[in-house]
Amino acid sequence: MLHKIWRYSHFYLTVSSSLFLLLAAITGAILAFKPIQNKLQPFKVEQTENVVLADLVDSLKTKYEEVLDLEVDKNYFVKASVFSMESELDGQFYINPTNGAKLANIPKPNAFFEFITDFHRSLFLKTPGRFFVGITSFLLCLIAITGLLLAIKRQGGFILFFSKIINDKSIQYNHVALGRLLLIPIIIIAFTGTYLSMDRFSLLPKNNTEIVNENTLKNQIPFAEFPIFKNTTLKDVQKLEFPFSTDAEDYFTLTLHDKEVQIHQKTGAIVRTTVFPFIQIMSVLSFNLHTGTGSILWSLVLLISSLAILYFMYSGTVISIQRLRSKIKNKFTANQANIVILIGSENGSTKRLAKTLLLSLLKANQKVFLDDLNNYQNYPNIEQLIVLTATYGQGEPPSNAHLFLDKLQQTQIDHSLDCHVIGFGSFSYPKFCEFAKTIFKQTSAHQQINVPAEAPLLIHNQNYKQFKNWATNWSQSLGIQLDLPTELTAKKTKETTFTVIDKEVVKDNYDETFTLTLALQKRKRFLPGDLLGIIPPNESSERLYSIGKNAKGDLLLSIKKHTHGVCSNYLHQLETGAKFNGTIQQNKEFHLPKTNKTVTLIANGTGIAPFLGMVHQPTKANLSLYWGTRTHTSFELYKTSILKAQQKGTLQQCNIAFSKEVTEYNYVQNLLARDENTIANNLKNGGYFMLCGSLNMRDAVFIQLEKICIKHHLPSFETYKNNGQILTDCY
Amino acid sequence: MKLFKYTFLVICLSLMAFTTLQNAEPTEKYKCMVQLKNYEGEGAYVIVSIVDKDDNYIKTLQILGDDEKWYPDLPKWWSFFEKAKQPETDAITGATIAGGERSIFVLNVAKSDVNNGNKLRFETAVEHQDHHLKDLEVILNTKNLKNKYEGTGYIRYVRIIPN
Repeated sequence: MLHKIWRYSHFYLTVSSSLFLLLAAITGAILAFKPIQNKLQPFKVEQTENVVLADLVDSLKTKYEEVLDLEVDKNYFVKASVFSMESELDGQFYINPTNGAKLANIPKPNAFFEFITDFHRSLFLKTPGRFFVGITSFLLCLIAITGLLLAIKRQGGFILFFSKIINDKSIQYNHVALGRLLLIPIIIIAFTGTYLSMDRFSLLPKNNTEIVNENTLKNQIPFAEFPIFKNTTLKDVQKLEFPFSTDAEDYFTLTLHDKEVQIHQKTGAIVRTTVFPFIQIMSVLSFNLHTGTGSILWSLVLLISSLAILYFMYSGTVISIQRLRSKIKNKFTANQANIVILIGSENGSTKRLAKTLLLSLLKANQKVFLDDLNNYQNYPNIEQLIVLTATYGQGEPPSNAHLFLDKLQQTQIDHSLDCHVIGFGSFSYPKFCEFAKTIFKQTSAHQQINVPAEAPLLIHNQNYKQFKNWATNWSQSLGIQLDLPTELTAKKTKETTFTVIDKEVVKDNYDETFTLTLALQKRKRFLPGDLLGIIPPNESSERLYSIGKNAKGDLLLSIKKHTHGVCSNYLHQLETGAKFNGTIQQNKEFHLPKTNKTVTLIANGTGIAPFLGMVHQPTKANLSLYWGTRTHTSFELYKTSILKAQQKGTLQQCNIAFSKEVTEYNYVQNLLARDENTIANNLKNGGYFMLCGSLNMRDAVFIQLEKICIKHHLPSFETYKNNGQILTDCY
Repeated sequence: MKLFKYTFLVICLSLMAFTTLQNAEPTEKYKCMVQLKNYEGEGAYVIVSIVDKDDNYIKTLQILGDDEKWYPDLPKWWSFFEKAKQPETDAITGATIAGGERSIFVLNVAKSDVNNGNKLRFETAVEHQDHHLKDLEVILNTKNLKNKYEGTGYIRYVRIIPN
């Protein structure tokens, strides 16, 4: 329950301070350049920090008629205020501390930075503005701390906080990973900002400790002989004020970093020492840390942190929208419903699927009720219970599901019901869909609950196709006409115009296959394995073809002409130069994995198309191809491309089975059986298998792989399917 | 009669000289130290001006506080200063001084302004606190330009010595 509190505070704190935070972060990022610009000005003289104060006092006294004071800033630029008859050498200017000579006039403060600084501090609202900025700064402290707690919780404990964050390519990953990296600078910015505001509003107690010394020295000595001047270098000096007049009651006032010392101007004795309290030293430190004064490196850290805050606001907004978009609106109550969908979702992506299902069930006139797993109760009219759940962190329930298992045990069920469990997760987590598995076990063990499936359906990366297949099968078994949308995302992929630049046809005794090489009218990124959607003229439904690439990188389609196939005939009649429209659809599930392990590509017929591209992709993986076709003639179409890949070394091995020729191996599965040792090793070592082609081939290959698993005493083939080593695109 | 003519000419010429070469007016430099009381809050704006015997501003000698945004807190002086367009104000502008601190600066006083009934005025203001129009005011004469004075507002004392 606790991390829900942190999540809400993290969210509401940010929302309430977002406007000020946004302005402060933008101006802060600009202001990071101010100390850099200052530091780069040429007023620093080598060895300034080691100049002895006595020498500088001496040279100033001889050079100018009268000296009022001298100041040393964080950049070791030395300023002096002096009198002189020459107007050029009168007033305040930068000096060379080694000889006291004038270096340059003090440049006017940069109007732009002054303007931005004023805005950053007070938003041009004078004191009330400063108050708001102070509060925002304090809230940023809290936001950083709640964010830290959330990240600890997400990583599964304080020690695991420092371990690798699993990259599931979501914006949440960026939010967490970047947050962990910049946590300390951001807390420093927020804390010092708060401290400076508190100091500004005099909320900090101030009490100086004064030490009054007895004047023991009696001899009058020149300034340059003062022991304190001789023992102090400019490194420690902030300011030295010269005595107002020659009157013995007027002292030198020397401000060091931690104290102020008053010195008798005749004898050089220390008359009074005022030690700065810790709070004042902290104020100076806060100022330097908050503004980056004196350090280019720290200024850059501040700049990056400011930009990161902007990114956090963006990514946080996206995450919040994902969450809010999936709010539940029910038409039927819990008591009326026959079908109950319960969800466990951390960020609402699972909820979106559940809502899609809810809407289509409502359309099919079903009494359906959607709720969080935590709100599980007795449903008097329930017949079907559907559990859709994600898993949080190390196999823990998501935030809206942690009460479910207890409630399941405690709640009385009136009559028996069917239960379906579907888990959502990512293969990149070691505990893939762990919580769904737990629910599946518990519901199966429950007396009143009938679980038809043998194992829960586990879905990687929110694969909608898989979910839709399940939903269609399930509804058909209940006699419900379910109409689920074909695509989950509302955004339509834009149509692209393709031009046929090459066409090759191969005909053997059995069928006719052809390849089309296409040019895109607009530049668009695509990878082998993506899909090309084509709607043939006078048709409404879309056909999908796997995209391949030829050696030159052009888009390649490989199509078998079906006698009655509308689309394949349509494409077949296209000649070189012809144009047609289609959409390129990303199919991340079937891209060549970024790995250095083995990838075994298995295809039959025109299923080779995506692999034709992959064998030319630059990769560290070790690729071998198994292809099943009918005749030697049909190989002619692909021969050049494959040979080229083998020459380049991107394809290690090519094995072809011909089903209609007299050979030893007729099918790809025969080839796999021949190479069983290699295949078993590949499975064991985490190598990938990519299958593209007919469903018949897929099933035959699966059976063969299962056999190999058993023979070589490997874990069951299911294990490899579930952990994402087997990728398929079959039809 | 001839003598009268010559004197008249000399007077006219010298008057012209004064009007055309106003910038080169002979001035005296005075060192001035302002020490503030130990009050809480932001740094004080301190304005040093010469006013005539009817309290009309004649000239601004020193401005401690460089953020124009707060100048309207000193309304009388600000309405004068805005219109006066005094040249080289940068040279007489410095940073504010906080409670308990002091500042030393130089006052360039024109000889013609001294000993003719004008007053030297120190006025102070602190953001969102009080404005002291006459924190300290002394008759501007040679004797007074070498002394120490107690303030009535944020100023503890002011010391002036000829340089």
